[in-house]
Amino acid sequence: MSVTVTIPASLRKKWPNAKEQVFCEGQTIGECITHLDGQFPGFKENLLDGKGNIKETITMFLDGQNVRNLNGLLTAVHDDDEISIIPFVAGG
Amino acid sequence: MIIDDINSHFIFVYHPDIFNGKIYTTYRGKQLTNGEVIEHWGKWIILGEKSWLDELAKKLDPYVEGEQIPCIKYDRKPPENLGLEECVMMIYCDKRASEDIWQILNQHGVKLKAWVSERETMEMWKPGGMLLERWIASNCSSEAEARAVRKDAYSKLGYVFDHPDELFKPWSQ
Repeated sequence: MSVTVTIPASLRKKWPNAKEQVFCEGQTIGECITHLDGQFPGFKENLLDGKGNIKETITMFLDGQNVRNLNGLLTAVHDDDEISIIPFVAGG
Repeated sequence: MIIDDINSHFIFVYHPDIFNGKIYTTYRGKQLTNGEVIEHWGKWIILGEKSWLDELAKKLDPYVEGEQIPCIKYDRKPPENLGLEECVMMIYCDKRASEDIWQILNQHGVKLKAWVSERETMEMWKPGGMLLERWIASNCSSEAEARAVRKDAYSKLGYVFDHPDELFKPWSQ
């Protein structure tokens, strides 16, 4: 599946060649993150904790929905889906 | 109209009638109850440079005045206590209208698609919640002060959860 991932500037500053929107392949959110780690080494470590779960300070969305409310990293993705990642949990 | 008071951390975009008592937590013209706010209310989150958000606010202001977007709030400077280097803009609306509003945002260059429900936000700002505890850590100088903040948060958020049938009253900020 080909998926678009939107990454705000504060999460991509370590990778100067990363644009606001990047493309990746995968069947699940987790596979997409792993695929992006191949393009941007260390990307996965920035998002996941030592147990492989999404860090408390990171929120990922699939087409606008928080993936914690779906199936987390196991959430299935489809062609043309959009993943967005933000570096905190919620606004006030 | 854009409310840019230099004494506030936030810049707001409100309908002008907000000063005549207009409530923005509505859906199809009906004011929402506390229970409905917990169930349906939330916001689209946008991150970006302050200058870009200023321009976006100007473009979105007509939609607020036209009552398509209920309310907008964004940071005057990045919230460093949350570890952010960008400002955060929040486009408040009812989930049931959120896709229509997303289309407006997307037309104006927003790519990040991140919906945060009011229920999730309240969970983060209640005593013990991640955002409240981070705020306390960076703003309170004593445990007594921290306790007072937690008590205030509990009284505001607890009331909303405990009185689901009352009309929701937005908090002053």
